[in-house]
Amino acid sequence: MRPYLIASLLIAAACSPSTEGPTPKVVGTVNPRQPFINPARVCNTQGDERGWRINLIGERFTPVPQDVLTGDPGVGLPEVTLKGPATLTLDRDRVLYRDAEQMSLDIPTRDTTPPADLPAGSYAVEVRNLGGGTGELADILLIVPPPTVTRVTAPQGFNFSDISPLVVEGVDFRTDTFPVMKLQRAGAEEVEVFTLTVDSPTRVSTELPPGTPEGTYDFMLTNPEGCSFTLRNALTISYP
Amino acid sequence: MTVLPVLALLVLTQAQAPAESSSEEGDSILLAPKAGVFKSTTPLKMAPYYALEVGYVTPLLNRRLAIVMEGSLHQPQTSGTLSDPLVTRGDVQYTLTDRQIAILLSALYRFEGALGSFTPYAGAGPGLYLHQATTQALGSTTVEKKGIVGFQLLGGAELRLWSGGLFLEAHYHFAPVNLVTTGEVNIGGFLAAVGYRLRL
Repeated sequence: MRPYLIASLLIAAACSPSTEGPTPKVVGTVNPRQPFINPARVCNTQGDERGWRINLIGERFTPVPQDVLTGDPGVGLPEVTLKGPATLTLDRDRVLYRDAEQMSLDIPTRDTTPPADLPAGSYAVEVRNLGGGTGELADILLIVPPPTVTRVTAPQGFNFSDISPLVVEGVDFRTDTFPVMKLQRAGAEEVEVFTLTVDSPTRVSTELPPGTPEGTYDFMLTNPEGCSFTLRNALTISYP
Repeated sequence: MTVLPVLALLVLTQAQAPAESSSEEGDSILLAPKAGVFKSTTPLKMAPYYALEVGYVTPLLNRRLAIVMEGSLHQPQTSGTLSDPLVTRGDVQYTLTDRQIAILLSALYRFEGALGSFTPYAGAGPGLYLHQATTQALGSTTVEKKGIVGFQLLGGAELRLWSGGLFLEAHYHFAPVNLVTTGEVNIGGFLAAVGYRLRL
């Protein structure tokens, strides 16, 4: 029996597949909307139909020719997986190869087609070269929820000739950044209001510029990573 | 050019009748180096083929059945350009080289004496095909290795010459493989080889 066993083992060893190729190294992520914020923040809703585009920085990202002996050859792009509160391997068409050190990723959201539910939290990014190894780096992507505005008030009323303090109430305000806020009304110019402080995830303090025309305004709050929320008819300005 | 007729004459004068040695018991071991060309049924280009065959003429079927084992090597290559809108830096040029080492076990039926000095033969058997697919693209090299089991059909004709025979043979190899770079294909194909088969 021994020769047969040895032969079987040799054949099994010879038949076992192996792949040798460049092993990628993941260095970081960049959201072009906030190029100097690390780790990159990405909102888990909205975006266009492809979601939010970020750049993945690293080394040895290596596509391989794929199926070249078949009638349908192509390019096997590195496979990218987000690992955190949820795990998501990006569809092939959401990975754009630029060079060995940079790829662009279209991160899907609840509003993309198809949708993806990425709970808020810190994520690792794993890159697997189809013809080589796998590289991963923890905590290089922060998935954040979109802001929601529930009420805008002027506790001290409105003053045409001076600033009027405003309080914005809602949920999921980010205390580590300043949102962009605007008052909008049909037929009138937008009025930008500047953030004083993000007091808490549920309250932002700001002020209305003097001379803002009277009327009923929508209130739009946009976070730097891209997500925004508009509260219709949020504020009616009238001066005494 | 005068060498060829001389060689042909030499071959014919040295050719022996098959009955003279086919019944001898002392020439049951076969040893045959061979060389030829291999063309895969895939886009891989034609490549040189080298092999060494070791065989045994069994007493079965009036010594017409032989069992042979062959080790062979060929290394076909292909290259091309791929376009993909997801690769923003432009087209991808690649070269794929598939080194194949095969260990083939065949049962051969030899039609001894069927055509005078020529002995046609045909056979079939399984093969262990060891692939090493090396791909170069975008400045990087990827190597995939995998062994697969396939089978082969072969046929040929041998002209008795001195203590062995000069032969010409053809094979068909069926060797399915499924690597990232190759895809799922029969990477086998056809080969033609010539060689000299010693009887020991």
